[in-house]
Amino acid sequence: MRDVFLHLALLVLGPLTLLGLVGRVKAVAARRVGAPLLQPWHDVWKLLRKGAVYSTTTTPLFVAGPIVALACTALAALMVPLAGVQAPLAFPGDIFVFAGLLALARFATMLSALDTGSAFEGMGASREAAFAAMAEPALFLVLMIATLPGGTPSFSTAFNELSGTGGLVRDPVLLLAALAFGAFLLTDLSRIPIDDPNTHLELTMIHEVMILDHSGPDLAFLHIGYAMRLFVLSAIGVHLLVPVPPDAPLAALAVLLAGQAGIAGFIGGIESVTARLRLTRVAQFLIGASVVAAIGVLVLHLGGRA
Amino acid sequence: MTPGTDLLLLAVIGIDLFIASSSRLRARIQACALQGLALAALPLAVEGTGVLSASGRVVHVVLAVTATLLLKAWAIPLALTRAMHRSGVRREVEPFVSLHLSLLLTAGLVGLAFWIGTAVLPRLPGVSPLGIPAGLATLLVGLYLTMSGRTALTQVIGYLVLENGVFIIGQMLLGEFPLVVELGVLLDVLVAVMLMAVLVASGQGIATVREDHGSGDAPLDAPRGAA
Amino acid sequence: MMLWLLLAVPLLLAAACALAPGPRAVLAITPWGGLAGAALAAVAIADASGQPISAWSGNLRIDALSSFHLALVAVVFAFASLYARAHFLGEVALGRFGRAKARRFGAAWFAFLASMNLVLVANNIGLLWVAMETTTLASALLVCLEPDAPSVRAAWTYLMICSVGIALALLGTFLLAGEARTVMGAGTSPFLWTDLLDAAPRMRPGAVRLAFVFLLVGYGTKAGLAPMHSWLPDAHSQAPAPVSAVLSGVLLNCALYAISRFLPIVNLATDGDGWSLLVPFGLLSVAVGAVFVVRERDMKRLLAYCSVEHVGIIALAIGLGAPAAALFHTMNHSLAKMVAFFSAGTLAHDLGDRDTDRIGGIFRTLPLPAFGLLASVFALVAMPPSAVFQSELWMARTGIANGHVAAVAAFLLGVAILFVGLVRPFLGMAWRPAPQGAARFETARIHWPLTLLPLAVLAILGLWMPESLGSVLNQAAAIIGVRP
Repeated sequence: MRDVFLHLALLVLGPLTLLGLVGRVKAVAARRVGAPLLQPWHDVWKLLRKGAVYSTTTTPLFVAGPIVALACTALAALMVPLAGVQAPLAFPGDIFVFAGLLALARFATMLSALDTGSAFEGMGASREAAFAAMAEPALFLVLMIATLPGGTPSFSTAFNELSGTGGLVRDPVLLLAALAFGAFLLTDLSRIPIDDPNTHLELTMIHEVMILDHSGPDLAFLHIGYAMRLFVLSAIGVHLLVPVPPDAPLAALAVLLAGQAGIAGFIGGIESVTARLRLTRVAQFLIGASVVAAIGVLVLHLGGRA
Repeated sequence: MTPGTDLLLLAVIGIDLFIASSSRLRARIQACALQGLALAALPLAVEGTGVLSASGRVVHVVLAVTATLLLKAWAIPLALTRAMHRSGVRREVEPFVSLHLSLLLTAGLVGLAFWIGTAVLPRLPGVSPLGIPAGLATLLVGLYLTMSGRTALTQVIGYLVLENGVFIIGQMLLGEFPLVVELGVLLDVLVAVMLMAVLVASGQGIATVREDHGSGDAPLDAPRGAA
Repeated sequence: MMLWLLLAVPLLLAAACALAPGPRAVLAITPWGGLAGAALAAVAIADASGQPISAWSGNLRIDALSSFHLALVAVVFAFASLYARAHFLGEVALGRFGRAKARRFGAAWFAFLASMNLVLVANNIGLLWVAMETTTLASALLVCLEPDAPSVRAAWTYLMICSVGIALALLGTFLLAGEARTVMGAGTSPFLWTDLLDAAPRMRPGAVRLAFVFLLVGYGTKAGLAPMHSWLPDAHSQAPAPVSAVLSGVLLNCALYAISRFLPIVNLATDGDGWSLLVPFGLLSVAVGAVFVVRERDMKRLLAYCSVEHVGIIALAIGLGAPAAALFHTMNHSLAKMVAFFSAGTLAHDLGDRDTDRIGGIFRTLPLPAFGLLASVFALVAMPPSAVFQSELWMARTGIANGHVAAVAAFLLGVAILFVGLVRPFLGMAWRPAPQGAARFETARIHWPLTLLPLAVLAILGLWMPESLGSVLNQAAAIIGVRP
């Protein structure tokens, strides 16, 4: 019971704060004063109190999209063990359900974007669909690297196995996994170099242009869903890279939070130093990520561990 | 054997992929230099600290590492960069194989190398299981680059990558070479690349080869094949 | 000591040429250097005639096989050096052979000799590879001596294809040494040919076969075996005439020599697989040479394709179990091809044209080169009394005796096509009338012995084979033809 409580507390408190941390990193890197750490909380709170504006061309699908997306993401988030504790939802094969739920959330967002009938949002949705499809193999291959040694495709076995290996330092395969996962992370979260969350030109946006017509609580749901995605994926990343001690809850919590802060720093750092890739290069970037992960699987196979 | 070796070999494979998928010659040359660096470090990683205890081998290893470092990570990239500036060809324009496909093909070659290295060849005792596949993959990618490159410099880079692959395989199979062989091979590669670079920079229209399959025919009046 | 001199003297000469004050100085060094190299080789061969001699803890070694090839290199190189002097003196007079070019030529020319000598005396297979790649580098410099677009392009193709090919030979070398290392005892080195030969019967056949495939493809590229021959016509036809003569005359032999060095090791380890691997490459080269000769009009390219054919014949002869005939053929081809390139070079240079469909009346304008070209072409297509006829007959008879009737039949067909394809264009140059007002060109006096001496040797050998040559051939062939 205490585990579930801890898990829920992390899920509630963590996501928006982590999002704020990414903003802080970028502000510091650019020597700006920047928004405070808790700015996303303020934004969401503000949006939740506002009313929503609906275009006359939209259908109920437009309203349903953000809700379904948030629900799916939240459900998926319940399957990832955080800080060494058992996840509230854990069963063999939960990894596939997890990936499916994340995809479903994206699908709902895209549907509601298409529902507006606007050319811009349609374009954003089409790009989102294309890139997500190309990033998906990378995710599955990384999950394969994580789960193959344990034998069961579930998060708890995978993380148990990973915590035993000694992490990145001991096993070069995990480096490959981490590279591929990093590429997937940036794509999935629509960050630079795939997409620029701060751009002002609709033509170059992907994620932002999809949610352009949403307002009020709908937009808040999308924001929360996005932050939760960031939180959960970064948690998986931490487990991939660093051995999280399974039997020391406090140490595990510290490792997790420090690792997530590190990933926020990684995202913010990349956004501070690089520019967006040309759209034609994105495909190459993602194919590259999949290839790297595939080589990881091969190496794993070679070492007789799969 | 050691994680250091595996890490270096993985880096070598990663560089193969990068070279095959980037279109800027400068980036390719830099990647090539990086691969040279990895190659220079390989004997150190393979032998670990054992080198330092066996006094007779120290000179050999240090010489080989220094020579590789100087030639493959510094002199050769420098020569290639100069040739690139002189020839004025900066990128692989209109490659025969699109970069996406090239990346996938390269990945296929890496897979093939892993398959050959594990399923076909017997496992060598005392050698990193990654060693032969990594060398083979590098060799195949190099061969692919020399065949698919439209610019002359890409072909030179392909040749270098191929040579690196051969060297890795040799390193894995033999552990060490006689010093004269190792230095001789390095010197030959250096001179070959220098010569190639000079030819590329000579402005005789070979910087982008392959429009007519590089046939250096004397100017006869009638087209060949008409007779 | 002699072994070291074989390498050091050419290198010193190369250095001297690189520092020479002018083109005439280089051209003064060239012929004497060529003759000095020949003299050194003669002494070294005499030293090694009874027992193989070795130096540098076994890394260098001369035995009967290397002696034979060393002699060929020495003769062809000395002749080519004499020819080069006459050839480039004309260029100097025209102001087309300046100091920088002369220095480049001289340095590369003697470095080329040093590297070929090293190929032949190396007992360390890694060193053999290094020397082989060095021959490519030095000769590529010679191919693009004239920095015009076709030459640079030919040098590029040559350098690229041969370097990549030979990198595969390095892989083969490593594979062989790696396999040898697992079966060798203490005190032996997996890189020394002599040690490898001792250990060969203990090696695993599969691993050795794999290594030999890479060695064959790698050194075969350098030898111009089809289908890896595509660089050869360009490089051999774009090079200056003396360089072409050495490239076609002996450099191809050196590459074949490298392959034949590995044959006994492979045959001992695999029960004779090496020979059967050579046969398809040989046959394909014969076919390619024959087919392309028919379509070609450029004089020097015709000769280059003829080289592809003859390399194929030599490889085939070894594969059919007639190594002595192969060596005899190697020698005959070197002598005939050398004269052919000398004569063709003079013709092309003086007439300013290489198109066999346009040139005419060569016997009136340039009688000696015309005679040399036609006589050597007839020798190359095995017209009796050329010694080439004898060597091809010898190999065909041995091949049939060893039961390879189909291969011999295909080979004879290829030779017949070559006969027609090569003779037709060259005869045309002789009987077509000379252009209006064509004057007779002067020929340097040195061309007389350079042309007539090798031809006379070929004619005599075609009629009568001296005992001593026969025993030399058999001794050298015994090294290639070790049977399990």
